[in-house]
Amino acid sequence: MQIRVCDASVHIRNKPLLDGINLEVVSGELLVAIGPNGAGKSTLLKVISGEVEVDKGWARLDETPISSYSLKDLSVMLAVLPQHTELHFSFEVQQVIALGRIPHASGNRRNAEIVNEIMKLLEILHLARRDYTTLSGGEMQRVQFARALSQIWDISGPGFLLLDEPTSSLDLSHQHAVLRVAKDMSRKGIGVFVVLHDMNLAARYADRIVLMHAGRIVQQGSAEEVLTEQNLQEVFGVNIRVLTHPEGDHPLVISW
Amino acid sequence: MWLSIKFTILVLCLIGAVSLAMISGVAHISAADILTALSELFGELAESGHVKTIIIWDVRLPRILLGGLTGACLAITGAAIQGLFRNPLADPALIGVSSGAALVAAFSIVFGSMFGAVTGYWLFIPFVAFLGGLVATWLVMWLGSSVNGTSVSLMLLAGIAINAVAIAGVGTISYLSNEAQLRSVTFWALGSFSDADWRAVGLSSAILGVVLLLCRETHNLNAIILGESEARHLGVEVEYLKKKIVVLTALGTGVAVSLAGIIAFIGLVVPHLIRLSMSADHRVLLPASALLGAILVICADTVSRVVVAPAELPVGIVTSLIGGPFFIYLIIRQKQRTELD
Repeated sequence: MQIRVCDASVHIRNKPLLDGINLEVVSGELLVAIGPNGAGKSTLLKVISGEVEVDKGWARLDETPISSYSLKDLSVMLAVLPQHTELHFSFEVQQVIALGRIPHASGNRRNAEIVNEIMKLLEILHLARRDYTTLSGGEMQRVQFARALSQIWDISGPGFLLLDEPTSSLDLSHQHAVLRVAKDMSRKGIGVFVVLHDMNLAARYADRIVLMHAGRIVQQGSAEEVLTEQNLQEVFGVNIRVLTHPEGDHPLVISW
Repeated sequence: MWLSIKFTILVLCLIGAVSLAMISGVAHISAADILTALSELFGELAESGHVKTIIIWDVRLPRILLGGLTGACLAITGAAIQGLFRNPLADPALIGVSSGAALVAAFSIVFGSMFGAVTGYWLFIPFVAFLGGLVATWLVMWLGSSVNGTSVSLMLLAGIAINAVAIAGVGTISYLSNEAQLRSVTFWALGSFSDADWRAVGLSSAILGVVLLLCRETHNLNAIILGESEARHLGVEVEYLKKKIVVLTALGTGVAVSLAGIIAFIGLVVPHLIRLSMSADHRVLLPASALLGAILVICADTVSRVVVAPAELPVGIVTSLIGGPFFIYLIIRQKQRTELD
């Protein structure tokens, strides 16, 4: 099962946000989008999630246009973590995570089990009864990640997980923790799409990387193919060296 | 487990509030009188009915019921509109829904008296009050929302503007009205249950029945507090939900205003208290708010009947006297919290 975006363009008031995008998010694969601010990564994520409709081209989930799925049908197989989520009500952390179970009729007991498993996995069990509005930025981000996970935790059919900068407020160890979990989800057959800014995280975890610039795809492929000095210098306009990571065979990007 | 205990406490408090309200007031009524009144209802409804029985059946009971039903309506719509606006400061009275309804109601009292002879006219005022509330709610939503969601400051500013215009409108109408009309219009500005009768009780229980449909949207309300696009990803038809909540809020608030005037702060204070003491989860919040709203309004109305007896204070004054300081407390709490960050 895959979500396919073909020759897709999106404009807002004649300003092109996406231009001729061809991309596939496949079950069991972790795909990372990188690129400078305003490159269209978040818009692309919204096209994949069905939130934004394309002006030209098409976006299909398993041969059917995403826009023709009902919100209910999409919500049982596709979870989205936006860049920011604001919540002003004093929900407990475990209640926030359980919101991801709303689309499923799995019952309170099973939902509580799932929420518990996820909190254990993400090491936020100690926050379970905390008031969400009193958490730090990084803690909130991990709780929202947990909520997105709970939405596709034990689905039997195909599933997709779309994460928009899930590590932006996290310290080093939690950045790796989040991507490890995302990777595990892809190994369980979920199609995972992650927008990232850290190219070394991308190189370490991605099965495939798509480099974007000004609404277009510059290149997509393996980390070695995409993360080249020429590509990155051209797109980001800074000095780049690409070495080989001493602890593995993936590229190591250094900028100055 | 804890929740069901707390719900039981709320129900017991409601029974307590009703009983207390029954026996307090200018006419002294005891528990024995209430039993007599009950027996006279089921026995011979003779014309020789006790004065106290008449007071119980025709004055006190409808008044208490109307107070409870109105309080439940105001609190539950307050909780729902706060969820929709994703902000705990959205109160139907604060954002202009009540005054919008009051303006239209006052207008139709004064200028609609020429239709007074038409049958069913008494239903006309609640209906236009509902429409007035609806227009005000749409206006606040339109002014306060952008593509980025609802801005609290814009929403409250829109509320200030709507309130100012509506109060000026009510003022103009009272200026143009004769003495009898002036009395009825003044009543709207302050809120009172002194005109309660069984007809009003019947209408407000029907309206509460409709407003309770909000309880079927509790999962969706839980989803929408994360944001509109998040709610869509959780499978919620956001536009439908918005319309439903706006219409039901305007209905609950508008009809309450037309029957009892503006009773401020119930829609704000009650959901807050429930969130603090029970849960912010709408599955708990909505029904618990309805119960606590009924309790608080019945108590406030009892206070308003007793403190300056044999005269009485409009109940809107009592709720504002309690609600105003509580609102200041909320602001201080919020201030301390942001200073901590």
